[in-house]
Formats: sequence, C-alpha cells, structure tokens
Amino acid sequence: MGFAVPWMLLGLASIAVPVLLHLVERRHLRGRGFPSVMFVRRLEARREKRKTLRDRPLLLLRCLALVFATLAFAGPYVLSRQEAPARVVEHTDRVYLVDASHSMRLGGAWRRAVTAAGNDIDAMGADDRAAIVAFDEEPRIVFAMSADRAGMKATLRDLQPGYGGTGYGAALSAAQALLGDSEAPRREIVLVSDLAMTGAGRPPVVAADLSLRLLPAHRDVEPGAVVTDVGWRAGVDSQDGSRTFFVSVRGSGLDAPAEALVHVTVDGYAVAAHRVSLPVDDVVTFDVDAVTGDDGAARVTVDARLADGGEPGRFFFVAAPRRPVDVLLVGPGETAATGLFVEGALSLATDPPAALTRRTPDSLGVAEMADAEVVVLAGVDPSSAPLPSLLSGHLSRGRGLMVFGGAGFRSWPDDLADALPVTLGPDEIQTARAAGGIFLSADHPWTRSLERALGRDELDVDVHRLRRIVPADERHVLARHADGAPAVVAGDGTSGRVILFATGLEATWSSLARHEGFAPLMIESVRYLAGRSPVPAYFRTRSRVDLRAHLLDVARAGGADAAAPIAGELVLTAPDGRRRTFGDGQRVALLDTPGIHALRESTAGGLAAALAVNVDPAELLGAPLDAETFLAGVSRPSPGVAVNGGAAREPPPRLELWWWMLAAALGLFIAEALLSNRSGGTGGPERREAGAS
Amino acid sequence: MNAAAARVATGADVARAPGTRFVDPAVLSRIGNLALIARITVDGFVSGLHRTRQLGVSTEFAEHRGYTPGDDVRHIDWKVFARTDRLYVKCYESETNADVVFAVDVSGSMGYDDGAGRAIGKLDYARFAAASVARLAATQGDRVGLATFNDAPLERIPPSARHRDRVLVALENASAGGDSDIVAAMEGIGDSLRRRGIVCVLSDFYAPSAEVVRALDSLRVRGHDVIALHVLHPDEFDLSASGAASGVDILEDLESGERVPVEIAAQVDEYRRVIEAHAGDIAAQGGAHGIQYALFDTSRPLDLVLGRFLSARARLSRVR
Repeated sequence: MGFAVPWMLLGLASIAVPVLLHLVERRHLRGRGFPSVMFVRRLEARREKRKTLRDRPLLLLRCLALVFATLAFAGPYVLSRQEAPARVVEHTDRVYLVDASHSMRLGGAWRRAVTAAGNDIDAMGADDRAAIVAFDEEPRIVFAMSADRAGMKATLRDLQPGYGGTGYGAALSAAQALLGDSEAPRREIVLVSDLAMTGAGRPPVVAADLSLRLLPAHRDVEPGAVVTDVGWRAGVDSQDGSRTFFVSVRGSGLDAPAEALVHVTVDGYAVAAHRVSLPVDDVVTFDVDAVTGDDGAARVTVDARLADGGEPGRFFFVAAPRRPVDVLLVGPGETAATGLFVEGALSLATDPPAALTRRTPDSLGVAEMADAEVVVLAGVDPSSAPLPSLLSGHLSRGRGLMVFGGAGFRSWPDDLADALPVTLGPDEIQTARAAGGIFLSADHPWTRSLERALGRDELDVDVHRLRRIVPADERHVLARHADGAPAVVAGDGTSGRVILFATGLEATWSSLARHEGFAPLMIESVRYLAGRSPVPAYFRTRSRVDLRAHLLDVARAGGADAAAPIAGELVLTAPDGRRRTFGDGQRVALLDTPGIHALRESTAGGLAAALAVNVDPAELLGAPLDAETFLAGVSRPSPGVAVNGGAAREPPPRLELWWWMLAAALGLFIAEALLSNRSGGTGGPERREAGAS
Repeated sequence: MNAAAARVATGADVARAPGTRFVDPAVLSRIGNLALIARITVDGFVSGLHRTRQLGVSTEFAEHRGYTPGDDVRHIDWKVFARTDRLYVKCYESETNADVVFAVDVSGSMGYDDGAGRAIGKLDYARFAAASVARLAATQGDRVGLATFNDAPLERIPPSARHRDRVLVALENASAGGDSDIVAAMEGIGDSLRRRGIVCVLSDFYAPSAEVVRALDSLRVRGHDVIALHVLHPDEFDLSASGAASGVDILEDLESGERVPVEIAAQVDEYRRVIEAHAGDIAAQGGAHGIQYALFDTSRPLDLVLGRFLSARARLSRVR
C-alpha cells in the first residue's frame, strides 16, 4: 500500500483539534440560553476544572472522521504482486514542446531555446525516448517518439520560429496525447519557451500523472514601439477620397515615457507622419487622415519606432472599398425622436457605413425607394397607402425592410405576406415586466451576427407595449420576449429580407432605443438586410481564411453586383513573392506570413483583393512570465502530483480505496452530527439557538 | 405546544387584516362575556362600563329629583309629569370609558423559547394575552394604548379609542432584546400617561421582588389600576426540562450574556422553590399595595387563563 500524496498525511495532526476542543473549549461551547441566571446557584470553578473528557464517543467519531478524510486525500493505493516487477525498468518518455511563435524570433530567444533543448537531449538516459512538438497557436509533431538523439538534434537545428501567437493549452494537450500511448513508468513534458504572456486559446492543463519541466529561453526585451491596432473611424468617406483611420501604439520594454515616430504609407507613398509620446504600460490612439485614391483598395502600412531608435513595429492594413448602405428611414416626421435614435445608431456603422435618408410616408416616392437598399419603418403604418405597393416592389428587388411595431402601426399589409407571413393581434397589449427583454432564440445569420456584436444573447430592455405577432411558422421567430411572445420575426429571404419588431422605439413602448445594445442591433440588422458581410481590414498570422468568400465580400462591399459564387482557380501571392494556387475545390488558405497578400482570380479581368496579415501584438509586448508564475497557472486535474519533478509513474493502482475512505469519512461526519444533536455535545451551537430563538 | 396554545399560535397563519394576528376568535369567544371593569372609577368622557364619581347622563338610571331652573329640559321625565303634574328630571349614574394601557416587557429574557415545542415563547404568550384583552377592552368602548419596554420605555402608543389596530400591529412587530430595568421603565411609562386608567404590565419580572413592587407601585400612586401579569415559561420552573440530567451545564443569560456553570440535577428542586417564592413575594407585596397579580404559565391554555383571571377580577370589582 502506498500514498500518491504522502505529505497529505500531515493532516493527521488535525485530530488534535477535536481533542483540544473537548478539553479546553468545552465550557465555551456548551452554553445554552436561559432567560435569567439571577436565581441559579453557580458551580464553583474549581469543581469544573476537575472534570475530565466527556462525550468520548463523539470525540472518537470526530477523530476517526478526520483520519479517514486525511487518508482519502493522501491518495492511498494498493499494488498487486503481479504488477510490482514492472517497476524494475525505469525509463522515461518525454515530449519536448518547442515554442516556435513569433516572440521566439526576438531577443535571442530561439538560440537559447535550441541550445537548452539540445543540452537536455544530450542528458537523456540510454533507454529514454523523446518526441518534439513545435507549437505556436497550433502544435505540430516534428519528431515522433524515438530514442534517436541525433535525429532529435537535427530536427531542432532545422526548426525555425514562425509568426504565430502562443497557444500553451493546445500544445500541452498535444503532448499529453502523445504520452497517452506511452507505457513508460516516467512520462514527462519539457516546455522550451520564452513564456510570452499570450497563451491564446485553451488554458494549460496537465494531467496529474505527468511531470512538467520548463527549459526557459527568455528573450532580451529591447525598448520599442508596437502598433497594436489600426481601424476605421465611423462615418462615410469624404468625396475627395480621404479616409480617417485610428492608429493605436504601445511602448514595449519602456521604463519611462518615450517619444515615438509613426509613419503611414499608402500604396508605397508616405501620406502622414506623427510624433506621439508613449506612456509606460498604456496605449496611445490617434487619428490619421489619408487620401487613398478613387479605387479604394489601398494598402496601408503603419511604421512605428522610438525617436531614439529601438525595435521598429510595423502594421499592415487594407483600406478595401466600402460602399455605404443606402438606408431610407420612413417615420412620422423629421424631428421624431425615433428617427433620431436610428440616425444616431447608424452613424456608428463602419463596415459598411450607412448613408441615411429620412422621409415621411407622404413625401415618399418611387425614386427614393429605388435607391434604398434597406427601408426602416419606425412609427408609421406599413399598410397605409402608398406604402404597401412601394414596399412590395422594394422587396421584390431582393432588398431589405425593417419595421418597428410602435405607435401608428396598425396592421401587416397583405402585399407583404409573401415576404413575411404573419398576422397581428388586434390590440396593443399593456405589459409590465412580464414581456421585458429580447432574447435571441433562433439559429439565424441575424442572431449569430448580433450575438457576436453584443457578446450575449439577450437585450435587457423594458417593454411597456407590444404587438402580439402570430407568425405562420415558428421558424420565422428570431427572438422572443420574457413571456415567450415573439419579439422579432423575419422572413425566409426568398422575397426580400424583412425583420419585424413587436415593440416600438417610442419611450411609451420600450426602452430599446435607449439601450446600449441598440446601435449594434441597428448596425447588424442593416448589414443583414443589405446582404453585406464585414470585410476585415487585416487578419492575424496563422488565420485560416475562406478565400472565395472573402473575395466575394470585398466585391460586394465595393458595390459590385457579385452574387454568384466564385468558381475557378485563385492565386494568392505572399509578401515574399511566394505564390500559391487554389483549385476549384479549395477554399481555405493559412496566412502564415505578415504583410500584404494579393489575391486574384486566375482568369483575366477577374476579381482581386488584398489581405493584410499581422502578427499578434501580444507577441511583441511585455515581459515574459517567470517559471513560477507560469506553473501556478497550469491546472492539474488530480491533486498530489509534483509539478516540476520526475514523479515515477506507478502501475495502475487500486484507486477505489480513495473513494471508500472518503465515503467512510463522510459517514462518520454524518454520525457525528446526529450524535452531537442528540447529546448536545461539544461544539454544537444548536443548543444556544434553541434558547435564544 | 399544547392544544390551546397551538390554537392561538396557528391563528397567525390565517389570512387576516394586519394587526389581527394575535387575536384569536376562539380566545375571544371564551372571554367575550366577561367585562373588564376597573376597580376604581376613572375619568372619562365617553359612556362606557366604568363607574365614575359624577352623576350624569348615561343609560343606567339612578334617581329622580325635582326640576330646578337651569336643568336641561331634555331630561325631564314627561311620564311622571303626566301622572303627578310635577316636573322631575332623571338622574343617571354616569359610566365612562377607561384608558387601558398594556406595558409589555420586550427585554432579552422575554425572548426565551425552548425551541422544542414544549410551550410557546414568553413574548408570544404575552402579546397573545395583551392583544386579546385589548380587543375585548376596545369592544366595550375603552381606550387602549401600549408601551413596550426593556430597561426604558420603547414604543409608546397613547390610549385612544382609535388605537386598537395600532396596538395590535405594534404587538405583532415587537421583538425581544436588551437588558431590563423595570423601575426605570415604569417611571417612564407613568410619566407619559396623562389620565388615570388601567395599566396592565406583562413581564417575567426578573428583578428583586421588592424592586418589582416598587416599580409597579409607582404607577399605583399616580392613580392607575395596576395589573401585574407574570409570564413564565415552564422551563423556568423546571431546570431539568431541557438541561442535562447529570453533570455540568452552562447557562447563558439572554440579557447579560453571562455564562454560568451549573449542576442542573443538584438544584432542580431548589430552583423551583426560589422562583415560586419570588412569584409569591410579588403577589403578596403587590396585593398589599392594591396591585392585582396573576401568574401566566406559557404552557397553559391562554383562553383558560384569561377567562379565569377576568372572572376573578370582575368578582373582586363587585366586592369592592
């Protein structure tokens, strides 16, 4: 018999606690409330001190419960005699996890990593085996489990760090999977890393029966400036082609604030230069106005470096064309509050921006409807002439309609029944909080994009009045109120896209227009109704991108009428000139090199786009973790395994002892509680409560 | 909890108007035919059942006297005039309403409850009793008020014909806590009462008997009719009821928090004698000062105890 965590046996000392309680604290624990002690004859103190231990059965139960609990946590096991000889041969299987993320390229980290791993391989025992797994955000096995030390060292020499981020969790999982097949008595993971503080993805978890050892390969952190983000400012681009970007820059390795120079280059031409003061451990964001030309597909490069030298930071950004969505807002008047709310929300749209026109139903004409991609009705009745015929024609052209069921909304016109087959309840329903909230309830492109934008699947709004909507089919319901009533319904898109809200934007109807989620709601709704997809201005290294979908999205964002899927061959040219061809069935490309990639159809006159790829700024920022901090963040699913040692892997133990002892401890605790209640023994506060209740 | 006490307690579970929690109809049905009559006449201005020194206008005829100018002509007995051709006016023994104030002890010791259902808590019992009598008194036109106290007066509701519900609500909301000082409390309550009336003190009277009587007598000398209702839990007579049968136990005073080691088995009988002697002293010394005393054991049916007490009080009133 043995114990997996023998030091837990120190807990046996805890049985001294109940003994002391029974000896010393008994007087304090036995009090019971009594109205008044003025007529009670007191016992002389000397007499009580002569008393010996009382409630001995209770004390015995308590001590036994503690003993069993301690033994259970110490992890007892019994090895069968047949299994014992397996321990004679002591060899080790290990996996070298070599960090090949971008941060390892910096400050001499890679050289240190290769040296440390090589030395460790040299120190391996004769029967030891090892595998090598290189990892950034994803792990890949570069050397299978073997005892070939020369092969291991050759693999290490050939290995080079890439441009990806650091995913410790995935790497440790891969190493455990490799060791899962091992029968070796000792299994070990050796992590060779600069311990950069990124670790995107799963948190690191290491099974209790594996040991984890670190070979630190710290990099020398040089002061520098890192561009952490570049993006659009809200609003429609100006007529002269100038656009406003924001640029965020952060200092790296700074001990004191420093000056940085930031240069913006568009299609190879320097268009802006800024001098900014970088604080320690904070980001500076500033705007850049840059003319990008008429075609709009500008390649933007932002260079940042400290004024007195240091590591330069470079960021790539593609200013893809982004034609605004023409939104026609039909409301009761120019000054109606509902229209102002919609206008305010859509002014924040960037990808794509929204160009809003406001009209009253009376002033609405065929010309306005012809230009509009999305019509929003707020506070008007869609069944009042001439709206039914105009909206029907609008939807028949495959465009979008959004309707809020607030004041003025009477009925759903028959002309729109093909696009959205619903009927409305006869009355406006006065509600309290019963109908409050809008909860996304369907798997639909609109709900998915809205959930991404909100970061949750509900809007906590107050709903005072609503229209009871009865859809012809429950699948039309995208969101519901708290009482289950449909909150948002949508058509199936075959006859134009329609979204209908049960409540209105007026304050007497709901607080929706004043809710923090209203702007994302409007932006995502308009984007869905216009059939647009967001076009990322840049990707992270190691991103997998659907090239055909991206090409199509870029074309649509630029105003092209590109509805058909892209077939045929695609050519992707990396910044270093490397070309990759993707056949008809190939869609996804791994972008592993930072810079601007060129994508085009192989046919003459086909669609083309540029893709900017950047290294995760977290790879460039901040001091790495120390070993203790890193190990403290590693989860160990079972207790009692040494974190950084070479714990021997025992033959399969009979772990059921652990459970039996824990069960015995629980049983004893229950018996103790029952006996304590019955006898009013030491430590029971229940007697006092009875008196004072 | 015995059946009668349980009936009182479960009356709280019935959905009623606020403030009626402690007035159980079963209790009132037993004591409703008894009149709460003060032994002394009190001042008043509304006709009631309490005698006053003034002869005036009421429903109880006293005598005829000859008419003299200035008498109210509405009191002339016209039937006698028809028979005798002389003017007589009718005189009545005026009956007024009385102020009935309940002084309820809410100190920590009144919060005792055995927690095992042997009897209801002392404070509960006291407010059941106070609420029942208050309702009875209000029904017959008396003005009811309330004063809760521990070591000083706490909540005060002045006597009024319209304060019955306030009294009941205050009783319902009362909770036990704090030390007790009956002398200071009774002085404070006496200062706050402007009219003579009945003061019904419900307490466990944990103070030397002479001190208790002195406190109650401070009300008596102000002209009030003082009733002392001594509320005790059966555990306060029988220490062994909840304590250990043998060995040492620690009793903790609910007011002072003082912890006293006691050998329960060795003083069960002695303690009973002491507490009974204490009650007897209060009854005897109080009786000598005209203070009516009754001991309420919270294990006894409340309606039975109240009925007996009010019957005895009515008999005593007629004797006097």
